[in-house]
Amino acid sequence: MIHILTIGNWITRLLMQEGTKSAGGLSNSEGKGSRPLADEDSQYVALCIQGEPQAFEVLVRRHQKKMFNIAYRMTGNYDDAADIVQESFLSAYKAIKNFRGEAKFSTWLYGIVVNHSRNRIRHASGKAYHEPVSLDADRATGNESRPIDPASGEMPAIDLLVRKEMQEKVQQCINRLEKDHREILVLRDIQGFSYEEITEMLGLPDGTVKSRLSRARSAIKESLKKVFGDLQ
Amino acid sequence: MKCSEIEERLDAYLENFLQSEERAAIEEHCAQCSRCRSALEDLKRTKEVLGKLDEVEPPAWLAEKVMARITAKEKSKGWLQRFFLPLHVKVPVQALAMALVVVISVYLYRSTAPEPGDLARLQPPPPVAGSLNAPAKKDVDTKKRFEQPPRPDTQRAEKKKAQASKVPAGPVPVPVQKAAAVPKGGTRADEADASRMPPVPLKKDAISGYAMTQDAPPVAAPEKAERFKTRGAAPMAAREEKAAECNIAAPEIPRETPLQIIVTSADPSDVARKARGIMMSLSGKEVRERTGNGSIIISGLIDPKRVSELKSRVAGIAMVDEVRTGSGEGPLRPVEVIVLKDPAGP
Repeated sequence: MIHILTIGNWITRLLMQEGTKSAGGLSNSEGKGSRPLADEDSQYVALCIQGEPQAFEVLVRRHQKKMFNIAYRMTGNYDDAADIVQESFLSAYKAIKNFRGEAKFSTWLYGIVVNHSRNRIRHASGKAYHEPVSLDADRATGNESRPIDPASGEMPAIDLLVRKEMQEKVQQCINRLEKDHREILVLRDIQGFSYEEITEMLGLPDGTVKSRLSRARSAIKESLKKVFGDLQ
Repeated sequence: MKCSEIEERLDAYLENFLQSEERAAIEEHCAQCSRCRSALEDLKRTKEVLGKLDEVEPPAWLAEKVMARITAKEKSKGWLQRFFLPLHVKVPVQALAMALVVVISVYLYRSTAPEPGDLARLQPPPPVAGSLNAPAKKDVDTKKRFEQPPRPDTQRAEKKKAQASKVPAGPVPVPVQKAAAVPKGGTRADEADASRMPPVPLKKDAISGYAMTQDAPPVAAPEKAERFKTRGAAPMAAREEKAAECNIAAPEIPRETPLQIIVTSADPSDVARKARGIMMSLSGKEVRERTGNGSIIISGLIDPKRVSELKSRVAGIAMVDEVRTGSGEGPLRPVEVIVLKDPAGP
């Protein structure tokens, strides 16, 4: 009887080990030679590589907001941001087999959306992005309807309006920056990415990122001072 | 440090990139310089403003639309992939198909090309047709062509056939012996001699197609050609078909022409009997006697080494008019003793 129980336990343990192996095999199957993915997306990325598009939906839902905000802050246009995010996800899905796992999947994904945003700015008519925008004439863009996710949900309506107006003016200041300054400012000061992540996303050396960020901050500071007067 | 240098380092100061000494120097300077202090405060405030920008909510339909586009793309990709294979698959498949086509072509070419023997048999015997109707030069050409090793070229065979059938009709009486000498090894001298000889009626052998003794008088060329078709080629084709059905190889047809010793005698039957005896005594095989139109032919197969003995012994029993050297390299050589009746005899 004791023997039977021992054998039963042994079989159960063996089965559990097999189950663990097969589950682990999925996450480790992507890319030989690359270091194993350490981020939470690796499992879904592996499934996508194996040809399961449903797994990509998890990644879309997980990263869409961040990607949308990057695109929106870079372009300053809600509809354009939606288009850019769609295109970026399609590009990412197409190229996911080439993802080697050398960086975090999210970093790779955000790099794609930055590229798409940059291309959109470059190929746009120029009027929307490059010409100086009147700080009082922004209502025609349709941006007033965009849903803002305020930090506090209990803010009085008047404060909300003031805050919204202020934020739109800040966005206009961002829009007036040069493309390079805009993207680095969005990534570092708005989205809060680390310098390491930014160098990976933009493919720039660390020193370039730092100096460019410094110049971008000086430029936005001057722009904000023009709009708001004294920042103190 | 000057104010401009301090302002350049303010950003690094805020990001904590500076060494402690440099940090202390900036703090000391800012404590004394209101302009640099203000610049530092502005920078801090700018960072704050940017950092406090609210997150924007993406449209609710965004994820669904993305997935719908991906699904649609997957479907169209799957459909397209069936028809347009990727290059790394397409190229080897096409190369393999090409190789297969080449192999099949070569196989078909070899399997459908006629056998050299078939080609020769299917052709109307050029000696008879050519000697009957065609000019001498044409006859030589025909012979040359006929003597060439037949190629597996059906077009050529058909061409030859057509050439033979195009020979102009007209009963031109030509000594048939000339034709009999033509097949192989015949020379012009032999032909000239043959023309002097009394006519030896010949007939076409059904199997070999070569002219042999003939019972019937000479006929016009078209008739002969027709007869070749009906008597020669058709039974041969039928026989080969039958052999093929039985999976038995068609018998090899000897391409040898017999050595002919033509003698004249006042008593041909006696000479023929003696000649037959000589052949038998020389271990002749398949010794046969046939007659026709006043001549008696003793044919048989003997050892090539004993041919000279045959000649000398035949010369002992009758006057030898002519010896026609035949051709043959086999262990047994076909010989014929043609006994003609001496017109000057009784």
